[in-house]
Formats: sequence, C-alpha cells, structure tokens
Amino acid sequence: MSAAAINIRKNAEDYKNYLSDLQSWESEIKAKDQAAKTAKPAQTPPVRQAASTAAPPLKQKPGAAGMVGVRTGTSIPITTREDSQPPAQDTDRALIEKEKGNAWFKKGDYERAVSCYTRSMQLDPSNAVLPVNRAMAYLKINKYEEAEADSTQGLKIDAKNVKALWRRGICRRELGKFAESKADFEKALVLEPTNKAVKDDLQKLVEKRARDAEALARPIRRRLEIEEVCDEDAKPIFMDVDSTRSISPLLTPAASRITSFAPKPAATPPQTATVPEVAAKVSPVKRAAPASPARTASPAPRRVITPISPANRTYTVPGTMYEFERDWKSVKRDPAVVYSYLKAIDPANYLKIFKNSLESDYLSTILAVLSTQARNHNDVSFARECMLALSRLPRFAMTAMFLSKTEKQTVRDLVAWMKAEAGAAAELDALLKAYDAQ
Amino acid sequence: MTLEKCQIITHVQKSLAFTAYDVKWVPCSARFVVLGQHARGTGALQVFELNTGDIKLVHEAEKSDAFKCGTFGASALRSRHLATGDFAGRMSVWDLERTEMPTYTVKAHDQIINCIDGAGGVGCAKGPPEIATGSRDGAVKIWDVRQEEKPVAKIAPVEGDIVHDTWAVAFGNSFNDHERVVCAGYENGDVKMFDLRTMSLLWETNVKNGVCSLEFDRKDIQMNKLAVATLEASYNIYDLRTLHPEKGFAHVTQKAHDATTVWAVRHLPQNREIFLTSGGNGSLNLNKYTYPQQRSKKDAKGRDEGVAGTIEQINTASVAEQPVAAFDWSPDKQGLCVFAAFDQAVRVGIVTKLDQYR
Repeated sequence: MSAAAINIRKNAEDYKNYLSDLQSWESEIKAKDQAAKTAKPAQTPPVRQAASTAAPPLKQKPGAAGMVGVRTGTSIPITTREDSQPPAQDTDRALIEKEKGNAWFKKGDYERAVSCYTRSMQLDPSNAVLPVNRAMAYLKINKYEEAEADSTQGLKIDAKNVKALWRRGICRRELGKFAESKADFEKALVLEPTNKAVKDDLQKLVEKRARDAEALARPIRRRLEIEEVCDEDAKPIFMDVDSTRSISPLLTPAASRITSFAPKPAATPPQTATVPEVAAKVSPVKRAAPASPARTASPAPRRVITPISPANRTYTVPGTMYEFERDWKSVKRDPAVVYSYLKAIDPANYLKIFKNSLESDYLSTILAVLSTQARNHNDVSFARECMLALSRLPRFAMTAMFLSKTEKQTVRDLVAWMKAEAGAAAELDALLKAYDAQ
Repeated sequence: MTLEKCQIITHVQKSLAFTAYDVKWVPCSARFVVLGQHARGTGALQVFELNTGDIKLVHEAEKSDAFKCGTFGASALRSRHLATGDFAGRMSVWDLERTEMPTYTVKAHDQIINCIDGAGGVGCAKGPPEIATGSRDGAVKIWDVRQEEKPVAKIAPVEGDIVHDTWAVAFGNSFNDHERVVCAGYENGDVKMFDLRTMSLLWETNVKNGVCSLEFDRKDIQMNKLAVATLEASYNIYDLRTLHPEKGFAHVTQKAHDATTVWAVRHLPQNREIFLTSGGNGSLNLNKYTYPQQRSKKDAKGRDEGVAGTIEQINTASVAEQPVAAFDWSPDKQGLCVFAAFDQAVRVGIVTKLDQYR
C-alpha cells in the first residue's frame, strides 16, 4: 500500500482512538466537575495596593535604566487607587503647562487652553491659579457649569482668591443663580473694595435680575369664560388659561381657537356672521358656568382643555383641502353647522379646495345635509349650485360610483324637490346623470 | 493538510442563532461558553456540554447588551464564574448556574470593551484574582471583584493625547503573589507591557499593524514568550527572558493565513511551545516554536541581548468560510478545542498526535 494510504488509515485510527478516549475522559471530567463545586475556597492574596516600596518605581524618562523599547510617542502614566506624592519637578512642569495654556488663551484657542490647564492641574493639584484659569477658559466657551465647578475648586485651595470669587459670580449669574452670584460678588468686593470689574459685574447682575423679574411679573392668570349658547347636553365649559412661560407655547394654539380670529383678507367679514345667525335661530340658552369659580380657586395652572361646543367656534372659509378637512372633523357632527359651513364656501372655490380629492364620505354627508337642511331652509338655488359644482369636480364620476343605493335615492329626491320648486328640468336631469342616479 | 503530522479535525459543528464573538472552556469540565450578539443587538450567553459525540445546550441567557469577550482566568475552581465585557463598556461576572443577575458588575469603560483577561484564578494560582479590561477608549483597567466601583489600576493615555483603541490584553509573569505583568495591544500596532508590582511601563514597541490578539505562553511562570497576532497576516513571537536596554525583546515574525488578519493566537495549555493561529480566511495553523541554541548573547557593548528561535508550521486546516475569531484550547484534555467563526456556528475540534511533541 502506498505511504499516503497507510497514513490515511493511521489517521483514521488515531481519530477513532481519540474519540473513545474522549468518551472516558468526559465521564471522568464530569465527576471532577461535581467535586470541584464542593471544593474548599482557596486563600487569595489581598487586593493589590499602590506601588510597593520593595523596588524603586521606574519612571518613564527616556534613557533611564530599565526603560527600553522603541519610543512610540504616546505616554501612558499608570495611576493607582492611591496616587503617589508628586515630586518637585512636577510643579515646574505644571507651570510650563500653565504658560502653554496662557499662550493658547491669548491666541483665542480656548479648547486647547483648557486641556493644557487640565494637564497642569493634574501635575500640581495644590496650585489655586490653575483651576481659576481653566474656569476663565470655560467661561469664554460658555461652559458655565464646568467654570463654576473649577472656580469652586480654586476657592477650596485658596478661599480668599478674588479672581475665583469673581468668576464664580459671573458663572452663577449666567446660570440664573442670582442670590449666590450676588453673594460672590459682594464677598469679592469685601476682599478687594477697589476692584472696578467686580463692581461692574455686580451692577450688571442687578440689572439682569430686574429684567427677569419684570418678565415674571406679567399677568399670570387669565380666565376666559365661555358662554354656552345652544346645545343643552354639552358639558359645562371653561378654561384656565395660564400664561406662565413654561406652558404658554402649549396653550397659544388652543387659546387662539376660542376667540374668533380675523378671517383671511380675501374673504369678506360676513362669512363669520352666519354662525351666530344660525345659533340665534335656535333658542339661546345662557349658562353662566356656575362650577367655574370653584375650579379657578385651584392654584396650580391646569391644562385641562374640555371639549368646546361647536356652536361657539367660528370658522374661516377654507381655502385648501387641509383647512377643509381640519374643520370638517369637528363640523360634521352637527348638520346645522355643516350646512352653514358649506354655505360659507363659494361653490366656485370647490375646484381649488377639493381638486381631485373629494372623497365619497364627504359627498355622502354633503348630500345628507343638503337633503335635510336645504329643504328646511328652502334654499333651492344653493343646493343646486352646490351639487352642480361638485359634479364638475375632476374624477367626480369615480366618486359617484361609490354612492350607495340609499344615497342615490337621496339624490333623486333632492332633484325632484328642486324640480318642483324651481323648474329647469333639463339641467337637473343632467345632474341626475352626473350622479349616476337615473 | 499534510498527513503524517497532527490532524486538525472538526468533531462537532452546531449552528447558532447569533454571532459568536468569544468561546471559552469552563475549567475542569466538559462544558464551554459561547458569547455573542443576537441580530437584535442583545447579548447571547450559551453554555454547551460535550455529550457522546454531540454538544448539548445546557443553559442560555439573553442580556440587554451584546457580549464581546469573556474569561475564566480570575475565577476560583469552586465557583468558576465568568467575567465578561460587553458592547456598552460594562464588565460583569456571572455564575453560570444563576445568570439572572451578575455577581459583580461595574461600568468599566464608556465604550465597548474589546478584550478581557483574568489572572489569579484557576489556570494561574498565584497572586490576587484580577481582571484586565481593554476598551475602545484607549484605557486598560485592572479590576478585583473584592473592590467595588473603582479599578485597582488604570492605564490610560494622558489627557489631550491621541487615543488608540485597545484591542488585546493579556496577563503574564504571575509566578508569585506579588509579580504580575499586563500587556496591551493597540489598534495602531503599539504593544505595551506594564509591571503591576512597580506600576510602571516595562517595555513598549510598535509592530506596524493593529494587534488583534496577545498571549503569554504561560501566565503563571516567569515571563517566557509572548505571541502577538496582528492584521495583515503576520504574527510575532517575542522571547521575554532577556531585555536589552535599546533593542527590547528579541522576536521572530511569521507570515500566515494568506494575507488575511490573524485573529487569535493560543498556546496549547499542555505544551507551551505549540500554539495555534486562526485566520481571516477560515483556517487554523498549528505551529511549533523551537528555541535557539543559545537564548541570549552579548552585543558589541557587552550587554545581554536575546535571541529569537524559529517557528515551524506543523499543519493547517481550513475549517470555515468566515474568519475564525474565537478559539480556545481545553485546559483539561490535550488536543480538544472549541472555536467559532463569523458564520454563526460553533465547532468543537480535535487535534491528534500532539503527544509526539512532549
């Protein structure tokens, strides 16, 4: 047999032996596993402390004995839980870093200045000037929180450092901590009464405080009483409008809904008059909202906006589909309002508003409204105009196809009524055809 | 695969529902742990057991953050808790019987923990049990489970310097209760060795390509050899017995795996001269290091200088189509190993005929 074949056979044998060996090993190791779980816990040395004094610590100076290898350019200091004392040369290096930081600061590169000061602070934590300088750099890049922390650190090292107090005062002023800022400035003035810069900042603080207080003193609560005019079973409505800064943005859109806002310049004023007109037809019920005084007594501004009766709303004439849809959502509940809303829209504008998107449920609602309301008001011409204009919309044929049998019957009834009232049979027949209701 | 030499055979293959990033044998058992990431981004931890020619899933857990690496190096024989590093920078120690809550956890770094190693536990009985984590934030931190929150030591670049991701970390030289050395490999090719007794940098070098994996041949002896696997298909073996003041440690470089990354380098626990490298081309290379006649010689100035040996490839096997990112030898059975590639499968392998190298 060739050497290769012998080898293959040998290998297969080796593999088989190994596998059977593996079986016995498996059972052995599982037993050991179980035994190990009950082994007694080993004694381990305590947690490692900082560098032991057994051997002199090797520093990272190039060329020193024991320091070898290719310099790779990045230095890696090892820090332990307890930092060892900084030797004398570190204070010198700290000063060098401080000078570097000052140079960057003068050039306007505040970020680099911060990192230089940081390094110098690490080298010499006992120098109060360094954190105060870093605070100044942070101030320049508007990092007030960090600057405050640094000035506080500087003050911890040297409690009488005027610069630190002054800078902390500035930070606190910018952060809105006015009382503390004032305290800092005043303390600085006590230490150095002739310091003009501190005096100026104190003045600025006072002014800023006055400005802010003014803003806060603006009228806080403005309760709007809404009178309910028709709808008997609508819930009592009122609203607490609180114009404090935090929630006014939320309420402004709602607030604007309550008052009738000026109609669009294109439309004429009488549009909005139709709603109160309709409302006037129904017997007005004045309800003075007796529960409101109790509610307004509650101190916290409440953002509860209870549903407003549609009768009190006034709508602008829609100019786009978006406005139509938006208003339609609240309008469609009350046929009377729908009718007046529809009347407000000039049929010539239908094309502009609806374009291609007259949906079949709008059509159904409009037809239903027309059949009840228009008949009530005997407004044939409007009904006819409306239906005609609708039928002229692009893709109306598609929409008409979706009309159910009852709706088509409604159309036929409407047309019959219109014929009875006004004549013009031919036109109305064409209308029937358009609505696919022959 | 050459026929007379050791054969590398895939014994069992099992497909997983997640990508495996690390596999480790549970010491003194026939079980191994697979750590990885589900497609949904959560962490997967599964424990398998060898069972008459097949592997059986005995435990699984899913955690909120994906696991990147794990080690049993710092765990005692009795407990054998697994220390893991995850993608969120959290280092946790788990009891594999009760994985609902970790027994120790700390937010070690603010970026992903790329590598982890343990010493002072089962495989390395001397010195306090410590866990080293290396992260993308360029820091290497040493943790002790007996100390909460704060690391025992932290090795980080100076503030303001460029930060290089730490890709590999390894403990070594832990031959008594005080001595220990941790070696870190970075993405720019830096290899730095720190002495934890004196808390100082012992040696550093740059191997030109990012370091994917580092391993001392043994953690619990005086440092002997260090294997460094890098990108661009090469790996170095350093002879650590002689440190020259200028040239550092002597080394030998070897190319392998067809111009793909050398993902892992692992020494055989039963024989420290044999090691295996796994490559980006899905192959495993079994190699042997031979010492030179004289491990040190005198240089021109009379100082001691190390001499590197030679590497010989024993055999190679192509075991997967994807890079084999994780590999572990069983510490209890010579030749038994487990490895996982990026093809969402874990495999148990057997290397035969290793006895001839005793």
